[in-house]
Amino acid sequence: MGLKVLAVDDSKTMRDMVSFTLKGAGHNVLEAADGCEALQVLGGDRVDLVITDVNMPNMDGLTLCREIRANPTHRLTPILVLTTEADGDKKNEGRGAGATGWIVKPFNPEKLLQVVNKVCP
Amino acid sequence: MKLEVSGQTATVDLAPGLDIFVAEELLALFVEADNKGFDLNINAGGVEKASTACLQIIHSAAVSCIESDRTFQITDASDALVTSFKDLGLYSKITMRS
Amino acid sequence: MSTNDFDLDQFKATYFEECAELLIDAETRLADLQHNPENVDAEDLNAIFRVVHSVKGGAGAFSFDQLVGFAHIYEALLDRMRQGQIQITEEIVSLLLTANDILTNLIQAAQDGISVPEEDFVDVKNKLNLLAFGEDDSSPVEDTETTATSDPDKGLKKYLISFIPKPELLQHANEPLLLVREMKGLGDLTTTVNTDRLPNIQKLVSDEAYFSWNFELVSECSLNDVEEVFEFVTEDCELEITIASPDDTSDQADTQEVSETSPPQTSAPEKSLETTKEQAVAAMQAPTIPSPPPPAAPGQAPAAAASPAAPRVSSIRVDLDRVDRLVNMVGELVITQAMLRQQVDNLPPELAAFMAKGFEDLGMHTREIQESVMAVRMQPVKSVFARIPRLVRELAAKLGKKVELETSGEHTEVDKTVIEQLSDPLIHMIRNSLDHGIEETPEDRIKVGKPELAIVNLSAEHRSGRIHIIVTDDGRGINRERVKSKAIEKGIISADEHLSDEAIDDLIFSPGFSTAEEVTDVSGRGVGMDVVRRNISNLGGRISVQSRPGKGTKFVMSLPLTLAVLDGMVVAVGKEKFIISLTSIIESLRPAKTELHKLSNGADVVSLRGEYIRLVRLHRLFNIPNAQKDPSKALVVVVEIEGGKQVGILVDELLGQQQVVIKSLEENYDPVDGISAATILGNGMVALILDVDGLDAMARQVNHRSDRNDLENENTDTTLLSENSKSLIQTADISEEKVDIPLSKETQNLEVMEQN
Repeated sequence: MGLKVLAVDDSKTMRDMVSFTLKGAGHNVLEAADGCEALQVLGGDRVDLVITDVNMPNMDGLTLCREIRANPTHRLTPILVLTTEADGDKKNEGRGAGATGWIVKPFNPEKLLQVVNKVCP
Repeated sequence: MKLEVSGQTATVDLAPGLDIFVAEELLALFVEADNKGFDLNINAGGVEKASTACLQIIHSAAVSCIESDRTFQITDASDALVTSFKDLGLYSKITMRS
Repeated sequence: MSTNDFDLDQFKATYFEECAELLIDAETRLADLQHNPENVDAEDLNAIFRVVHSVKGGAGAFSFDQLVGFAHIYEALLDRMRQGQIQITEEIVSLLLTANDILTNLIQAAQDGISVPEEDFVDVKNKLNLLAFGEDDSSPVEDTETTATSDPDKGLKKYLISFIPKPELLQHANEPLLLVREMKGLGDLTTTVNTDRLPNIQKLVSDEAYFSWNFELVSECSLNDVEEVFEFVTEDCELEITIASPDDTSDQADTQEVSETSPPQTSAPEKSLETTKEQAVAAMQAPTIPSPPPPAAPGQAPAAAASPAAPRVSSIRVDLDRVDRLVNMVGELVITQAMLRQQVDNLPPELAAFMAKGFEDLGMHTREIQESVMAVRMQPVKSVFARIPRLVRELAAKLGKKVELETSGEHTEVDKTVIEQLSDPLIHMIRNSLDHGIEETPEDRIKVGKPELAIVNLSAEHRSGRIHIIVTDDGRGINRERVKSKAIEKGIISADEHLSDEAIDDLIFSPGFSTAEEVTDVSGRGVGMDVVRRNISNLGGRISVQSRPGKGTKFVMSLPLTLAVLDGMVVAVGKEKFIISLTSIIESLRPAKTELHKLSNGADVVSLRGEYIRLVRLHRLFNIPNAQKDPSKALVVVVEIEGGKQVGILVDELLGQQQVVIKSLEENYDPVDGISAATILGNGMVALILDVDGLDAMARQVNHRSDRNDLENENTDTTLLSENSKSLIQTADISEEKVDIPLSKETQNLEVMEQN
């Protein structure tokens, strides 16, 4: 019943928290430290949801969004972007890159699960 | 999913996960049925999850059948599918037979 | 979540950190509101609302009930304000300020694991309640009791929602089914689908959205709750949410019926419990209030501002010394962090990798602290600008001129260190404009067809990370003939020198151009524009002049936003390291031998895209042993110096960019030619920050006395160019010989000094 979620963040603390919360809610979590690694982890297998940070080395979250949207296998996967800004440019950039929604930091377990439910059937 | 043709009627067993990823496949089946002028019988017993994308396709297929005087029916619709149709406000628009 | 405590505590720490940030944001915006209650920026209200909303959200997750309760009411009031249902008055703003203080206290209490006695803030809570859930039409609220009990905002509302997705909504993996299900969780939902846009199966695209919907939602929830359902799709659809008939009694009866058939309370039990609890609290507390809150009806500002909550400011005054100490300590922290960072590199690789992540975070946090502390010191230039009108009035009277001062951009912010340094050059520029820029008499102006009243414009603006202070006058412009003849007379230029208009204008900044007897009473104080330029350039700034004869003159002074840190390029020459300000660097290159030439006066130049750029040999200026002397094997860093000219600084290699903390040489040591300041690098060594303008001046002197032998020692391809062949390269005839400083010794001294 649980979802298969890929959590992408360069901060291990953040990955741990996301992972911890999702696993606690019965989901399976894959992790990647940046966009490049995320694409490798995804490979040819679909996941139910990608949660990604924006600022990351090698490949940032917005580029990852675009890569996923351009990938025939993964293009319709829901993507949640972790932003620090409550509003404005970052969200619009996320939208422009094809993100499904966003999670505004600070990390809040309840909010995370709420948003996951919001975009995942 | 595939078309099981028997006479003039094509039957489709809907996939359990009727999410947006299978929408393209579903559309292709219905287009084929439409091209060949089949009546459509949708077997929806196994649907566990539905999506707007697939419901749009099913609805469009239904309209195409009805407009060209062919039969369109959904049999054995699962609760998940019925709820989805209801949620989108489509329930009254399609006749379902269980 | 069933979790172990350690992890929950981790989340809490993050939550409180974020709360602190959020509160600062709210305070800043509240201060805006306070200063300008008539002209409210809607975004400010939205932002404060979001702050309180986020605080509430997190508090809910950790069951900080008292905080949730208060935040809920505060949030509700803000929600009504941002929907324009409550007009913003001074009273309301001061109530918000008080509410914000209480919120801060409650957060602190939650962090400390204590609760705040309810009576400490019940007054404010009641007032918020009254406004947030009270009657919202113009008739004054009757009394607190009725408001607390009858609560139209709590009642059922009917939302009409028109939702027309754009085709790409599905491609972004948004799913209308989920939106519907979310709304069903809020209340009683009636859905009407419109399938008109759905094409024939042959034309359908599998992942485009064609349906559109009209929803009718009967719910107790707030507009915000409904908006939140569509939060992710607002750009991917056309959305209209209207409230059918709010606060209409007949409608309430209407909705009451609905609620009988399907009680929406069951769908949101916590919410209604929470609100009824607040209601109960409010109802109980209301009668005990000694002086009932003034009828704070929206749109009305009660004449007697006898509100028990005295207006409070959400900012605090801090002793400058304390801020300075903080800035210094943060500077030290940055240095210590950089030193530790370098020491990590010396560890065995496994250990280094182990620590790398921690240092990355430390580095990030250090930078953030530094930026935050810097931001504390940012002040509007207003304080400096404020002195100018009087100066202009007095000068104009003295000179018998009619001048009007226009100012703009006085809210432009800049570091305190810059503010302090801004005043003198600015006053000088203004004096210069009034004295020399504007025509002698109003009659002179009328003669040339200008209005009698001269305009001097003073403005400030941020431009590419610097502040620009611009002084413009509509006077006669620079008299180039006179400037030129004076410059010749003073020996600044030679009589046959051909100069562009810009170069002539720039002569007013030349040392020795304005001399004592010419300095008028006004521009006086014994300093010429050369001193102004010198001072500004010591600050890492630049001043330039543009003039149009008969039309006026424009001085542009550009300064860094702070004098406490600098983005620099670390370069190596021999064993020495120097910092060159990034803002002055244009490019760096390794010239081919054929691009190197020598002028007849001994100056080295490198030809770059047809222009000759003077080379500054650091190793020679500062007597640095073991440096790379051959430019074709070293690197030339091309920098811009005052007047837009370029020089090439010869260095061995570039070591990388780094933000450095500026340590004043004047304060810690003595001024040194060619050096603007010092800094301490990660390894604890002192590195000097180059003053590129000063270097250029030094290099010219060195060239003047350089002997042939020295030059021939270097294997540059020497081509003799005639002095006049390129006007770009001017030689300054400097009368006094300055002494070359053996700098490496000084550096060692500095190191000793710093290490003590």
